[in-house]
Amino acid sequence: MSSEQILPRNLKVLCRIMQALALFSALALIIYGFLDDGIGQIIDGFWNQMDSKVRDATVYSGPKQAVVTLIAGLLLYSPLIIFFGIWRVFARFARGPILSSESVATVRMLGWLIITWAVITIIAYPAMFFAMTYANPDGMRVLSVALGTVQLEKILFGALLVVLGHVLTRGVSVAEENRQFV
Amino acid sequence: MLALRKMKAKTLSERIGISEQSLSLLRQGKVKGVRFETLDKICNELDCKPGDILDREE
Repeated sequence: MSSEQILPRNLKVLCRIMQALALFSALALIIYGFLDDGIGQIIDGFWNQMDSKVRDATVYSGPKQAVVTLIAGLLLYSPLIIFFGIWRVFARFARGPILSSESVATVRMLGWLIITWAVITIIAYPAMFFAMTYANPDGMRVLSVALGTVQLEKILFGALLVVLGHVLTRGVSVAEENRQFV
Repeated sequence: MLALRKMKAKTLSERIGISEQSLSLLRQGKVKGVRFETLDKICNELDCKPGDILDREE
């Protein structure tokens, strides 16, 4: 592998640190989820946002509880896909070659993962209220859609990485062609 | 030209600073292009002109 295809030592170290940080963050999230009842806290958060009359009309049991727990779990653990994407990008860049279609694919994939994460958070919000109140009598059902700057930032950042990935793909083609010149 | 100068391909590749493999591909015409810099180095080592080492085939 030529020297231009591998990162300098200090950047390799930085990549390894970032890899470890991504792994640590993922583990911390999983541990927090189990030890601190993260799913319960999310459900409580949604429950407390509802009007007291709606809460009184809501029966929270049976299959409804399973669906609500599933959505809360999705909200809590969806950042894991980002940590995985980040870990994969830094692992690839630390190992090299940096200008290869595989490396660029990891950047593009991270972009798509961030967009997916944003979409999950956008969909999960109304889905959670719907799951909690769909069996309520008329006038006691809640459907709330929220689209904030946080979600938009995620989508923009993800799209930026996807586009950058495509730009880098062109760069890889140019580098590949240059390698065929003696 | 290498035979004329009684020089081995390995020696030439070392002197001009490219790998033996690249030089071999260049000799077989299996590369997309050759840099002027490389051509100049080869001509310098073999004491010849580009026309002496380049040929065009239909």
